[in-house]
Amino acid sequence: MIDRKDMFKQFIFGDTIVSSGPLNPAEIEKLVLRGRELKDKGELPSQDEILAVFSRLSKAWSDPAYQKRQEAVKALESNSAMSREFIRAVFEEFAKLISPEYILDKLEGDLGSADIQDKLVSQKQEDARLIARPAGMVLHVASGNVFLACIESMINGIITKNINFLKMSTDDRDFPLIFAESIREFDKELVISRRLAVFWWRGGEEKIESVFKQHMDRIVFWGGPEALRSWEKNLSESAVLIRHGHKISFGVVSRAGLSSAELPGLTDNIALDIAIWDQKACNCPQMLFIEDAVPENEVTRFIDSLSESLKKTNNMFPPGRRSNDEYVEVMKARELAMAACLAAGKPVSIIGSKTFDWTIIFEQKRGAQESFEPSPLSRTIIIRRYASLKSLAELFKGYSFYLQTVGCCLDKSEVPEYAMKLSSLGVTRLCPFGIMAIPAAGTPHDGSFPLRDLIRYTVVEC
Amino acid sequence: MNIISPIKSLIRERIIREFFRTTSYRRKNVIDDLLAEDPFDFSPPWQEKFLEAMKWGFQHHHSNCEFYRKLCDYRGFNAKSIAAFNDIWDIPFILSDVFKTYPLETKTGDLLTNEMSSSGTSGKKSRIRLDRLSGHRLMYSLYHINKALGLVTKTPANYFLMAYNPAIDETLGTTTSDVVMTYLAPRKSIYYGLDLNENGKVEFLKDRSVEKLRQFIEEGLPIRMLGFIHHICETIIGYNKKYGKAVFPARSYIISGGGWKGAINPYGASFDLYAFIKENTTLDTKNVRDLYTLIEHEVFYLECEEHNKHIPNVALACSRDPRTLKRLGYGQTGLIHLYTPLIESCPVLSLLTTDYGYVGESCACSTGGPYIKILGRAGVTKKVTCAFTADQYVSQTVKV
Repeated sequence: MIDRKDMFKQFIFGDTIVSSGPLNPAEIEKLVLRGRELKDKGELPSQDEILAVFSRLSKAWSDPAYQKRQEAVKALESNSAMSREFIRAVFEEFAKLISPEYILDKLEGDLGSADIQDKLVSQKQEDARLIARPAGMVLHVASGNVFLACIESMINGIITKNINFLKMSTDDRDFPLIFAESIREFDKELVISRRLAVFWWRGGEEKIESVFKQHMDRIVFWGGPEALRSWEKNLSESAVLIRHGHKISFGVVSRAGLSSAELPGLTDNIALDIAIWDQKACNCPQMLFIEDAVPENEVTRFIDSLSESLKKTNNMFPPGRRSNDEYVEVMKARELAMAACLAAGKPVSIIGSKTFDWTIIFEQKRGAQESFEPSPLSRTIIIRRYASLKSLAELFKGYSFYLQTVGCCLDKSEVPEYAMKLSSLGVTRLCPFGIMAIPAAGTPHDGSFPLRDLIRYTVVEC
Repeated sequence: MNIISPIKSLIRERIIREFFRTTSYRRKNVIDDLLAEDPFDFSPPWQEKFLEAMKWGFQHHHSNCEFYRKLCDYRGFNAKSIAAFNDIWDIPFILSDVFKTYPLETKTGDLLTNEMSSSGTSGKKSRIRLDRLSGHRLMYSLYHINKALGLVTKTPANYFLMAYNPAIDETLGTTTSDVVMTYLAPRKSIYYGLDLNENGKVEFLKDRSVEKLRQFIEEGLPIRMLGFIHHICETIIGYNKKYGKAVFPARSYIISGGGWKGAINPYGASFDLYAFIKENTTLDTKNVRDLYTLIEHEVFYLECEEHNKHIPNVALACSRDPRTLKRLGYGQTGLIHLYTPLIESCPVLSLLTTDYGYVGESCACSTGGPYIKILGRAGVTKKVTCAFTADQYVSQTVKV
């Protein structure tokens, strides 16, 4: 873990620099101009060189004894809001996410061809060939909720051969630096490292932000609405803002889907989707809609099973650190839901641990009769019945921009209809439960391919 | 403007005036035994009286409010559960936010004289209807609390209310309590700072307020500035810019109530109200008192000279751990939980607030008894998440 005395440690194009304070606007401007010089030189690393570095990196990170991995785990255990058990589980998988195989899948999926950045690739139907070139200079603005998101964003920038600047989140100022230093360790030729800068400044500093708004080709933003509004202002003509703002995800369970599902397995998967990243990720479900056609006793069985699954998941991955406010939000949601039941003369159906670790609220509201309410998060799932796909769609009308992942328990025959309806509503991904927060490599995020956002194509028609 | 409001306002004014003519009323039940002239006397047999009053109150709300009865059934609590004083802590609570969605009432058979609503800073307002008897009890309590803390005088005062003019909307709770406060010293005149502007919209009339403060200062009678502290400060700032330091007449008071809590302080977290008053006025900071009260629990927790909000003997308070809701000891910060049997027309016997604070055991002043410290409102920190959250939903819904 990085000593707090070294709080202002930066990784600048291959060098670790320790300073007594964060970089000031003039220093940032110098840094950006260095990046521009590199960009103007136009010397791009080859894909093989990049993959070779990631191959070495992946091998190192797969070893639990690797020093940087241990440093990262220790730092995250101390600083992030995630539990120790969850952090350790993430690092069991991390090596796969940086493996050349995964990266190739991503390039293939996102760009249509893994080679398209290194050579002209023919289009099937047109007499034209394409080559993909990096956008140029990319700033990644990290958020603190999902510590892997900024690493993935940085990797996206690297494998598309951009010059990358990463603004770390205030909540995680260690892991991105540790990872950047790890890259350098396996990048003797500085193929990647000399094109990468990782640093932090306090969000909202207009002078610094305006340097980036002026010079960047892309700004990849991860985070909440207030910071997003600030980044949207006064962008230069050439700077494209890629917004990964706040989104809502939910689940649907149809009668046909439920009848063919193995219940404990299904609810275990749902519980994982709820608990992963402590429900702070945009692709974690906040609500679960169960079709009206599912008989009452089946719903009761489903809820009982889900409660068992959440208990189990809670033991496996206990909740991370939460603020008092987060606990109060859950308590408020429970009390208001209880009041709604009492006022409606219906039995109270709230299940949860006494310590607010997880909560199931079975709402008495139905489908589109009333508006939806997002969950207070902290592993709180709101369950509601829906009469039909049409009524479900009604409920989310007007929220197109905010919709993201829908976890599905549907019969295969229902999938096309749900996909057509929900996608037209704004939903950007339908998937089975259990992988809502684990999208496959080379698939779009928030409705577009992340790597395509970081490149530009040149068409060669001669 | 609501044309009913001035009429309702007059009726309410008459009720308040009638009460203050005698400052007494006839005993109806054991709850009234709590209403002593010394509101901070906790000597025996106070515990017995409080227990009896809470038992009566519980029985009453349980029998006459279906919602509360169902709630108690759900929590597995009944009248037999209250045997000893310490059982009071376990009386099922209603969260203050519930009143923002459900206008709960308990049947009393008495006339409902007053409907009050909160200022609705969170987007939703609580609405509470008070019966005449409960209203009188609250006024009695308020009068004696102020008397015990030295705020009842015979010298006339000019009242400077940073509150809504009741002629516009008498249901806004801050106004009701402020109007009652204007009976503590004979009124020379009353000024309302939140009023209709030239375009017929309600707003804080800063320039007019500055001139009124100037006029009151020149008159030389004690001034009582009441209400939203932010507007009081803004008036003083405006006055300073135009006329210099505000030289308040002797025995003037600022009694603030609401307007900001914790993180929504517009001057920043480090703002020191007392330093501000010292710097910009001649007022002794001992005469600057904050008042904590809620629409759902209209007992007054008024600061003493030491700036501690004393708990009167008509109420009980504790803090609760937000993570477990377990009762915390003196000095331990949690959610403030308030109990009072005074109100019969609404099931607010046991109310869990969403304000952080703690209960202090004893204060250096001569008032006696425990006090509460309010530290801010719960749920105001931003969540670190990319998930769409409830507060974003509210703002989006408003846009839609």
